[in-house]
Amino acid sequence: MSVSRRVVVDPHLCEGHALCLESAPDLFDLGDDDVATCVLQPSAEQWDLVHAAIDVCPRGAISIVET
Amino acid sequence: MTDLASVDFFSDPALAQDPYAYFDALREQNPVYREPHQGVVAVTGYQEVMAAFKDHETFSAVNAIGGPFPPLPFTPEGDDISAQIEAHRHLFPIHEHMVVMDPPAHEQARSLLSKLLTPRRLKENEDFMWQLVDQQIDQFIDNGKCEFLSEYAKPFATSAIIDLLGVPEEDRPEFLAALGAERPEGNRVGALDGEAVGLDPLKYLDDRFAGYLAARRADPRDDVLSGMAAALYPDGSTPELLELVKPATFLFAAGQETVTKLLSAAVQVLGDNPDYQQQLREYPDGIPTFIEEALRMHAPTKVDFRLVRHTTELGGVHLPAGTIVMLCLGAANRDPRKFEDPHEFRPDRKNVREHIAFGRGIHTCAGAPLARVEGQITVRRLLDRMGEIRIDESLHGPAAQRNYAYEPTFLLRGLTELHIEFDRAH
Repeated sequence: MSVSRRVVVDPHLCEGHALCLESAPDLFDLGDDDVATCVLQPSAEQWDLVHAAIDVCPRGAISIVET
Repeated sequence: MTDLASVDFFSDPALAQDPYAYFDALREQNPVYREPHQGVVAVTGYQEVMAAFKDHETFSAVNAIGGPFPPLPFTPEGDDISAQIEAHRHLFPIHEHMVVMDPPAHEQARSLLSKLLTPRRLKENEDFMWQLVDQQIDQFIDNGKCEFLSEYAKPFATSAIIDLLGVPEEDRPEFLAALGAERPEGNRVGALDGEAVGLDPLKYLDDRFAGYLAARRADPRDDVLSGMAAALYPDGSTPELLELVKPATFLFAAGQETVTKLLSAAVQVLGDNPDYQQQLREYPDGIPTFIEEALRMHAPTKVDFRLVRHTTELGGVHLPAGTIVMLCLGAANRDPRKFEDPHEFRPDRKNVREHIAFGRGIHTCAGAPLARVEGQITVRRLLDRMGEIRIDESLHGPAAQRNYAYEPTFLLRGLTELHIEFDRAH
């Protein structure tokens, strides 16, 4: 059985420090409200970048959800 | 050989001058280690500090600034002291400020400030910041030398916040005089004689901002203060005026000393390593990473405290409710399990952005984006406008045996003075 993973940014925690955009510019973007979202489902090779973004997020707003 | 781990961190003047060997000694005992003088549990490991920052349910920030001083206003009883914390919260130093609040009050207070300092908002202000940097440099560029903290870092850090908050032009000289002027007794926060921090050292600012915000509520303009005055809580309710004033004033308290320390550390590194000056002149895109490495190596805030709310374990160490925990940012940033050759300055270190000079989690420094921009623009313009920046050897000694003095506090890490020499760039 396969488990699919998704990247979630908690909009209440995110304050727009935008460090995730530096770690993974293709995956994250800032909305007009200065809240980051993951705009692309990461490919197999991109999960390392997701982990890098999680590690630098000052607010701990990024997580991986398994569904 | 002295047993370094048994020295009193809170009063030893030599440790204040160089805490890093002590931090290493503690970490070698255990990344979570009870120091013998105040019974404070010092956390020096990167992952252990991170774990405590993220678990804000267990680790209350109520004692974040004072740590063991003054002593807890109650005797902890049982395995959950939540009720005791809430009953005595008003007795803790600077209890009105968000840095020592816990959820839900913390989230309320922080929401008023959180969108004020985003990189995007700062971008809008960047032209002004460049001007400010240049005006400050203009003051001393022809002297060929300066004392960097008093002639640049402090007035610049203060002016940048004054501008950002939109203090009216005509009031700025008074603000600078009140804030930028060197107070003869220096900063008392974290002093080595165990004196508790004053209940609220920010009275002047409170009064001024209360006036501004009240005026903007009555008569809004198109400025940052009006934006603050109109801010609502996430549930749509209107904050009391005083609840708006506190975050504004705390920006000064938190952003002036610490930024001064960051800027002077960065320039100290440049002065001690002329190679970096040349590299960054040729490749200015390397400046942000350089600033991050300066933050990692010379974290202006050495330690941040927490109070264990529920009995717990951290790094395998049992921590009863009521334990005072000292999260050592300066130590976590030099944990060899996280950063290779941690005591070496590497201007292109790969994982440098994972440093925790700004803390992590809900209390992470709200001013971090501002501090970063201030650091980056400062280094950029100093390198543009100056030829080789040199450390003044008549005051700091020759390259092999420099003589630098650091502020004598257990809380903050920073030079007391930095004398540099330079030529105008051609």
